Amino acid sequence: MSELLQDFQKKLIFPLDFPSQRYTERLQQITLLVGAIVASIVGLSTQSLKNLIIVYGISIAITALVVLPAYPAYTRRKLQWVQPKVVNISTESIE
Amino acid sequence: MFSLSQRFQTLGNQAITYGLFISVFIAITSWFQLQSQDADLVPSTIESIKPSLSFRTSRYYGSVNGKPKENAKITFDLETDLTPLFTWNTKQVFAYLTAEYDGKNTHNEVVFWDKIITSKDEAHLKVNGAKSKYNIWDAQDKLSGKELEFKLKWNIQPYVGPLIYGETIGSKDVLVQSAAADDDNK
Amino acid sequence: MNLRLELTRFLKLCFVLSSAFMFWKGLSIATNSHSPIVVVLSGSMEPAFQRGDVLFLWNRNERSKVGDVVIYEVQDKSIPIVHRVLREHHNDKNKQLLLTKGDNNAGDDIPLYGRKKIYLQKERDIVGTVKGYVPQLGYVTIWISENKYAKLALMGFLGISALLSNE
Repeated sequence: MSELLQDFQKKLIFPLDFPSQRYTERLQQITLLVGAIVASIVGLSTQSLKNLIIVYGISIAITALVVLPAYPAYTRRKLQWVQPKVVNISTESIE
Repeated sequence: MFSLSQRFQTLGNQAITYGLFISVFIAITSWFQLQSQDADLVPSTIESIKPSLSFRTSRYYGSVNGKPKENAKITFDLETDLTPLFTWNTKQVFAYLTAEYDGKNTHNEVVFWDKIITSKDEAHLKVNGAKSKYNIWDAQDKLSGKELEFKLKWNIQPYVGPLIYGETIGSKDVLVQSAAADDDNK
Repeated sequence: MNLRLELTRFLKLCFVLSSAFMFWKGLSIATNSHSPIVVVLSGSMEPAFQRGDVLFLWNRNERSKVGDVVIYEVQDKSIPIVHRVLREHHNDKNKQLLLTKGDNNAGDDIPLYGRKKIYLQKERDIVGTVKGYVPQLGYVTIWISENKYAKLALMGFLGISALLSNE
């Protein structure tokens, strides 16, 4: 049971590579901030809270679309681990 | 930002944080809007207030132990324009006609009439010979012989943020004559 | 199964719960009200407050004013009620009598006050005065407490996230 869960858990991670993690976080901050500011301006200028909520909701949806899924572009730069060196040891028997 | 659940969480947190900032922004801008529309300087005229008295013996009319309690109703004229109270953050305006008076060592304020206004189109109030909504009695003994000061006050209920209270400029003093004096006049 | 890990997790949970409790009690002391944040449960103040709206209370005012929206609890009824003050009578000794009414109700609240009472007393009955307002945020709590499927879904979600999280 717990193995099954762990298997399931691993499938749900959708990891990003490291540079993309930083990139998406910055991107999310900027798009949400811009969305909030634009929403406030639109709402204030049209004197309507409804417009404000619609614009902010759209900006959240766009951010989610851009940031959440693990697009191939976000997973390309995998970390290069140091490879273990394979040494050929001669197996000639000493007699 | 490594796993999907982490990304989801940071996105949610950030969206809520900015949402709170937006709410504060709405509350502040609507306050400035109220100031620029001179919400505190709305005039009102309250005229031709005519009190009428009756005696009730029900608990729901202030009677204690079945003793008859003097109840007052009024008719009145009122005109005011509450449009300046409406901003983009105004959900409703609660306008209420109050009367303040002093009793024996007491100060009292009672509401005779109120109205819920939910849009700018209804904000211009003009009523003639309107009846008070409530039967008013005094907590101590009776209203007759007391000088009531009538005022129209308001409360703004916002979509988000603090509740705002204020009153219109204009008041009217009326002396409630006792039922006996009323009879003498006839 | 790592005992140390499990204990750390448990400690973290305790920390979260106790800090939430401290925040609540601190707010309660600051506002002098035993429940400083309430969720509206009835429609008697519509259209001002709908079910699920969150209200912030303040109870350090000496007297209530007419027009204030107050929360009160009548003795031997545990449900707090959100209504507007319609009349107030006070004397020099800071004893204040209040009569309330819901905006959406036809009549005043005397029938709610219980036997023989026709007024509330500020000191004794008032839990707080509404100062601030956030719409609909509390609807989740109503939804969870009144809908058994929602309750199950919440339990399931909490359980799964506890099982799946490994931080």
